Amino acid sequence: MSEPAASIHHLHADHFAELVPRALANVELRGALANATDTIRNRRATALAGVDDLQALRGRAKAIKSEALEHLDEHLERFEKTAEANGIKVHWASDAEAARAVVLDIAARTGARIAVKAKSMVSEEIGLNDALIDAGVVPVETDLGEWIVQLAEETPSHILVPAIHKRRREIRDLFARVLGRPMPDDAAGLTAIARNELRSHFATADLGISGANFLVAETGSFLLIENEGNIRLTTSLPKVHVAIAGIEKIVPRLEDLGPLVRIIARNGTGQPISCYQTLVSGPKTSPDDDGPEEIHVVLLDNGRSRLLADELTAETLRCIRCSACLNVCPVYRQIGGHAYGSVYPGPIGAILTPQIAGLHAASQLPDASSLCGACREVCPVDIDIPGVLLHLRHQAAASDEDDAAGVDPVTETKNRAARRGFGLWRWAMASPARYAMLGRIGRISVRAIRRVPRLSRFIGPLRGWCDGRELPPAPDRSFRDGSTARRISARNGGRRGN
Amino acid sequence: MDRRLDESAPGTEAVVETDRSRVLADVRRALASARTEGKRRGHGPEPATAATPVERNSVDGSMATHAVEHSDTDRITEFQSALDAVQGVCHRVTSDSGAAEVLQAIIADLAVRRVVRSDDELVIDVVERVVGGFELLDPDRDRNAMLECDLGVSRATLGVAEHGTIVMTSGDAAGDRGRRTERQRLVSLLPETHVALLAASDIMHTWDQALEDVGSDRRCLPPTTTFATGPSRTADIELELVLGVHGPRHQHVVVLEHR
Repeated sequence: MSEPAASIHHLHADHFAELVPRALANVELRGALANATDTIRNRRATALAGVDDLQALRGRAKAIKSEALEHLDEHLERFEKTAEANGIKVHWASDAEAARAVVLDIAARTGARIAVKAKSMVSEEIGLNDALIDAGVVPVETDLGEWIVQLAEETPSHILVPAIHKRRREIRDLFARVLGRPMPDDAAGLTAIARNELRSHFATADLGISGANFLVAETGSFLLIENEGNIRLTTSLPKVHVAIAGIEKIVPRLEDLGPLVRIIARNGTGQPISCYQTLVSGPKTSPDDDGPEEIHVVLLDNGRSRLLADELTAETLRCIRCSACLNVCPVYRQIGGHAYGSVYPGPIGAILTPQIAGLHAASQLPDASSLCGACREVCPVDIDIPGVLLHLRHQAAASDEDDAAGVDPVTETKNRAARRGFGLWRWAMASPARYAMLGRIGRISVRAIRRVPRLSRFIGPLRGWCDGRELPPAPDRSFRDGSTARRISARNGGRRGN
Repeated sequence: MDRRLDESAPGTEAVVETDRSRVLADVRRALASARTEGKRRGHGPEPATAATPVERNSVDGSMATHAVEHSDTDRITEFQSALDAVQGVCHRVTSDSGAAEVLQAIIADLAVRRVVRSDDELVIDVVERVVGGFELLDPDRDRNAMLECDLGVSRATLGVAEHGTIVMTSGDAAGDRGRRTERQRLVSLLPETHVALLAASDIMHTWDQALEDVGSDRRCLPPTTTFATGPSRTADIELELVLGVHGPRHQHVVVLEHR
């Protein structure tokens, strides 16, 4: 694997080891996360209970995405042809920088001053807001959660509920500080404030920027899914609309949209269907009509194409960003999205981030999982997330031997310790005498350590384990010397051991 | 189709073309390597000759369960209860003047002062029957006023019984890009209340059928097709459901059973 040119904006996944304890110490965050993820999980379960043949629907969604990826080059070219025939301008971007350049070029040419933005993970990935600000264009996030996060100068911590980590009180205080007047206490009141504030931005914006949930190769259209109506406003009011989409968002045919629309809503928010699906097939055809005069689609690679080279890693690209895996993940539910240090958190982030930005930048993320498999169980497109996690762990462990991928220093230290530990284990297990000797040393050490209270919390590998519990007492003699072992041994015909 | 590049930005062409060929080359190289690897393991993906057809709708539950023809009344009832479940309001009328009466009642109930309507003939006719007490805005002249308008009336191209969804197609007023379209994008989106007129015969069973109908000519889709199910909503603050964030807070659908 060559050094990737792809990058993720604001990535600091190499600080995972420092971010996690900080997140765990935030009791309020953990409470908020537990409540929120439980609520979404219950809604999802209720929504899925209404589907007659869930596994068949899941199989169909998976088949559509797999088929699209197997012939991705053909579908991309077809989309380009059909979209341009509809009057949509198609741009290609091999990395984040190229994508930013395309958007900035459009902004400069059209003289845009204010850009209203619909929630788009890919825009976070390429760091579009910072680039727009540098170019003198004011980006305004219009999804309520994204707007809250933007005002707080933070990043989203959940793919679907960007401000899931914020309590209502915090949001009230934030609005009051930014807008300079007292704010209501309730969610409805705060939402109304956001509606009014953002209306003035919608009225003046000259550029609308969105992502896209699905690109339809057959018809040159793209589908946008939402609940709030801000995407409809973003794609209706400004003169120019730019949609940025990863190349994996392609589906071959128009009729592929139905199953995907049904499965994404049920898995994401637990609704039978989201409030709005907008199928954009071209700019307005008459000067008297509403809607943008110009529509652009930016097809972004940014490291995605490399994932296609392997059947297992290619599964990552089936993801439809429903975020069901976040809500069930025992790790995400404890540490939240920010601890992952990437715009893509949770189980899907743990496999997507290192594969896009390179293992060297995020080699600790594949360890952010207990491999319990809950993520795969809920995944509507059946991505083998635990399998990819293991694959990446294997790469991370192998990399400092053959120097292929490169990992960050924390992973490197861990790898070295693990290798030493397993070396010692192999040496001891190869001989009964050595095994017995090591056991004896262990029992004596444990007894010694336990004599000094709290000492265990400061000793090397014990530190983490003993942080929340006591070291158990060592037995006086080994199991093999005990009466039970002798009885078993006698029953087995006097053979010792095993 | 030729790639029409922007003349006002010289030098863009080379950059765009480089990225295009690079992305496609990277995708092809990766797919080729997956195929070789797959063959070696003996279970790889099919060679890229033609798209493998995914069997259409044999399993997805939606079209199949609704294949049996329901009566019109069943369909309207299903539409009504589905819309009710997502906090929308369905009114059933049996004449155009009945629709006007419903509209009149909504306007009185919500103390509506300013109204906009789309350019659909039925909509124009129904709004004309409603008597006074409000100001009718001209969408051409007053876009900023529309941002603070109370109520918008437009026609739904189609309805979806299974979800209580209305389908709105936009395009130019003349509709010369295929099917009949109307100028409704902002009328149905900006005001706090949206009232959609829906002919009973335009109600389909499923979302997929409605999409199929809109896309019946694949080369000629309306510039924008919106599927709207109930009033706009958010749960971004502590997951508490709030209606009417950016889109309408009240979604009324008047089903014209005689049409």
